[in-house]
Amino acid sequence: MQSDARPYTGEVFDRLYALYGNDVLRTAYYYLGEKQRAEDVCQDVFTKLFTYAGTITPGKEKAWLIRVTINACRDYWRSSWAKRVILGPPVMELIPDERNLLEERAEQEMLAKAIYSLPAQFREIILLYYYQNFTLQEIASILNISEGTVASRLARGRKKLEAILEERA
Amino acid sequence: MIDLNSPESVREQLDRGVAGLSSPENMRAILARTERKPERRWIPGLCAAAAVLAVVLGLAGLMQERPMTLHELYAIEAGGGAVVTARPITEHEYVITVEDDHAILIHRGKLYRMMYMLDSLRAKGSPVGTVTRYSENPYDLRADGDDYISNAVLKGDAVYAVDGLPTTTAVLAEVDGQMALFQRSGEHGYGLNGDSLQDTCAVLGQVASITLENVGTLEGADAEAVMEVLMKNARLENAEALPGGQALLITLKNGVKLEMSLSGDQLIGCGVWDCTEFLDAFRALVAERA
Repeated sequence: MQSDARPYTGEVFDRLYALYGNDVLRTAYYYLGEKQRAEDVCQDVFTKLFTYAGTITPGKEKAWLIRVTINACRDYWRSSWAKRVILGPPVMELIPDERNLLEERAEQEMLAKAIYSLPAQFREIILLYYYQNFTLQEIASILNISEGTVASRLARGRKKLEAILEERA
Repeated sequence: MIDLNSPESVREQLDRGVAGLSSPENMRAILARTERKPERRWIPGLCAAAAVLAVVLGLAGLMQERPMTLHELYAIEAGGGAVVTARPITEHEYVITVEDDHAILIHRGKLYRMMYMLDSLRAKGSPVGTVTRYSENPYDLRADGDDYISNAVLKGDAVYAVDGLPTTTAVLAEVDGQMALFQRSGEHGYGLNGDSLQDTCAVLGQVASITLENVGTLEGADAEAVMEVLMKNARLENAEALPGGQALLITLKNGVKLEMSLSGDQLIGCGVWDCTEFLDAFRALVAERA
């Protein structure tokens, strides 16, 4: 197919966006806790998809998009450090759809807030593993760290998350 | 009850929690209308549309190969006003004059700001200490009893010298799995701590090139010569930081890059230094070599 030979024509861009747009946006939202910032990150990430199209290994587009998303979130997280210290972190709120039952929301909210309260290096591992369903090997490649480091951070992050959830239950 | 041993159920909970959040329908049209910047600056729609069109036509490779500017290379955007003057006054007050902040490392009165990730470990020297505290609390970061404290490097991680440089100028430490250069800086109420410009920018004899944004680049002996002018003539204005207007990039023979910035005739690194002689010499040499 012609679109395979030139994978980032507008048509293929649209397909990748349809497949992974929500993953990028929602991962950024869970990382940053701010809808507006998550939308900014999403837009930045897909701008880069155009720019760096030729460097992405076919079949690895999602991993590439999520890596760029995490990097963009980290940049914002670090640059907003002073703002968070002064004004406090943004309040993480769920954005469910109308089908979501009210009684289910308490648990989802507790989980979202617990993940958001983790230090960034644990939060991103938890999001990649639990939310984006990446393997330890894939996470190591995305974050450019060793699998051992991923495993250790995941174990520490899970322990912290468990403690927070137990405390809030 | 949330079961962390079941990634599927956690994923389902997370998915349902944000099921009402969806990415905009036509991203391509949005990108054609705007160019995303961190500050949400708008640029003329025609330029953005032309850029997108160029990529769609298969020119992505060419765009990647265009020469990088200083601003794209390094963490500090001198022209973007990213240099921070931020000083904890008490545990709960914090003075900010520029809306930004940086990853930092503090060692007994000396503050280092993270500049960039090294692409090679050629310049990695011996260990010089360990991060004994990780904290995002700026008040904690003033506690100088610890060895190294940081808001970016994890507790227990080693701090390394940069080969050929004293630790008064720069150190290295791992951040997110990559070795990052931390350059000495004056901000957050930390200043020279008894050091001079010769200590905090101890690069004489090792300079490969110096680039002054919007002026030019000097290499080899020329770069060394203007650096000597700087070291001999710089006068301390104050020990704080100012927003810079131009980036000054110093590339060392071992590949390490240090960055300072200029605001008018003042050089901003660790402290603010007045040095018109350096700027005059730099411009004259660039003109002579042109």
